[in-house]
Amino acid sequence: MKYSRFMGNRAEDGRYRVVVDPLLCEGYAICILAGADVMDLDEWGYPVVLEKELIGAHLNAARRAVKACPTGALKLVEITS
Amino acid sequence: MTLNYAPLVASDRAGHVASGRRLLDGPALSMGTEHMASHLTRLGPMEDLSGEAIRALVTDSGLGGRGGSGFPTAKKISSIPLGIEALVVVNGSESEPASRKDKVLLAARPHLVLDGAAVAAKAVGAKTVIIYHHADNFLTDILLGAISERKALGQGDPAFQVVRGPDGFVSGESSAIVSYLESGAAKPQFQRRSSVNGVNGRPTLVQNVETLAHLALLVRFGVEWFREAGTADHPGSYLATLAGSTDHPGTVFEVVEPTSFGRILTTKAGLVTPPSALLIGGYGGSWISGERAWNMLFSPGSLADIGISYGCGLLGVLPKEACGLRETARIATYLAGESAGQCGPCYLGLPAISGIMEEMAQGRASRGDLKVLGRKLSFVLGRGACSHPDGVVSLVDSALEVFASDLAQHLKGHPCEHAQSPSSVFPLTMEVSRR
Repeated sequence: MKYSRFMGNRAEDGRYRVVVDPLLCEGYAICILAGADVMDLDEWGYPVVLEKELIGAHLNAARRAVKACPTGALKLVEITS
Repeated sequence: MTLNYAPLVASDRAGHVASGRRLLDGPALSMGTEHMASHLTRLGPMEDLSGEAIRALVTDSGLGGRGGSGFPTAKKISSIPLGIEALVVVNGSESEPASRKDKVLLAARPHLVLDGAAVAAKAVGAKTVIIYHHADNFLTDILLGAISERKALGQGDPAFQVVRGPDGFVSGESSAIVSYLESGAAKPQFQRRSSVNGVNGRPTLVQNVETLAHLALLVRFGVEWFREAGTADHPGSYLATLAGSTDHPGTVFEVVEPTSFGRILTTKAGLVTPPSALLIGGYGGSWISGERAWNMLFSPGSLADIGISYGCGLLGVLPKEACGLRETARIATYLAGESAGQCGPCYLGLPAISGIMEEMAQGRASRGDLKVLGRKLSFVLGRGACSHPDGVVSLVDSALEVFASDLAQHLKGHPCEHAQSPSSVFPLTMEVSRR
């Protein structure tokens, strides 16, 4: 995005969470390695999100998880309320 | 033509008023389909309101969707962007095996539904209305007949198309319908806003049959009249279907004034004492004990107060001579089999849950299994693209609470004497006419 250098502030101010698209998720579980503390596996091998709201180190871990997913099933979305 | 939904005849006893103006008033339902001439004589033509006037009317009415989630109709309509030609989809795919209120409306009052669809089309600027239903030959014939009656009167706007979708519990979910109309696969999608990005990218308004029928009457008789029924928070009348152990399973009735469960069950189900329990809202709904419900109001508001959804209006009666855990297991097994098979936690989790329920019903499960079940429920809730798994969680969770004393005995290896009953209290296949 053109003025993305200002987006850093916004990311800190904004509140984020991770959303798993269950249709895209194939259970590769790479997000668990990349985003430990934020993601865990259920008993069938699919990821569950542990944190309802991502703060500080968790936000960075979530970014890594989103990036690592081979099927693009994870999304970081801003919490609007 | 007479209705082949046989027990429907019993609906006639249900407070129906020949001269009234509510959804099920007018000629007896046992008379079959109400044709255009009778429909117009009885209710008169609809005033030709502008889209803006309709949107204002719907907002003032407070009408909530009748497909199960109760989403405000005005909000849904206003989420359709104007300027791009929108599409209206009449959702007539009533997939709950025990519910038949939408089938009854389509079969007995097709013009009420088509009028409502025309109103919705005007409100969002749509020229085409698709009437989507399961491949039910009986309903298809009635709908095609009703459409040609309208054409014969020169009513060509909007254009109605009839589309028959596949069977299947989740194929009536609104994003699954949009998917079917695009690709032929009726599978739920994740967080797709069909109002903006609907069929082939067109804004698409998917509305339940009953919701649309209300619109037809709202335009004719106005907001004040509409709000005379129901409550301030949940205005308008509500249709409901009686199921399970009653004199007349399949009876569809209309709740105009909030009425107690006891009164409804006495007058419509022929009960004199509270049943063991009631299944409310649908198969993915909630159990409530008969004793607790008896003096409560059967209304969306009073159910919401205790965390129960009115859903599709199913009122399922569990008799004293049935095991609630066993019936829950049967329904959970049915629902597990109806997963679209897209989301791991759903297609793997639901059979695991229903499996434990079956073991529990047979008295073969332990306290440890109950803990395992609890963990699986929490792993499944909210994990699907659609709310199908959430429905199973609601069903099972409420069963564990309502049938807690039975459960304690089952866990000790002493199942209820009725746990072995070979037949299900509630139907486990969809009612579809293929003749």
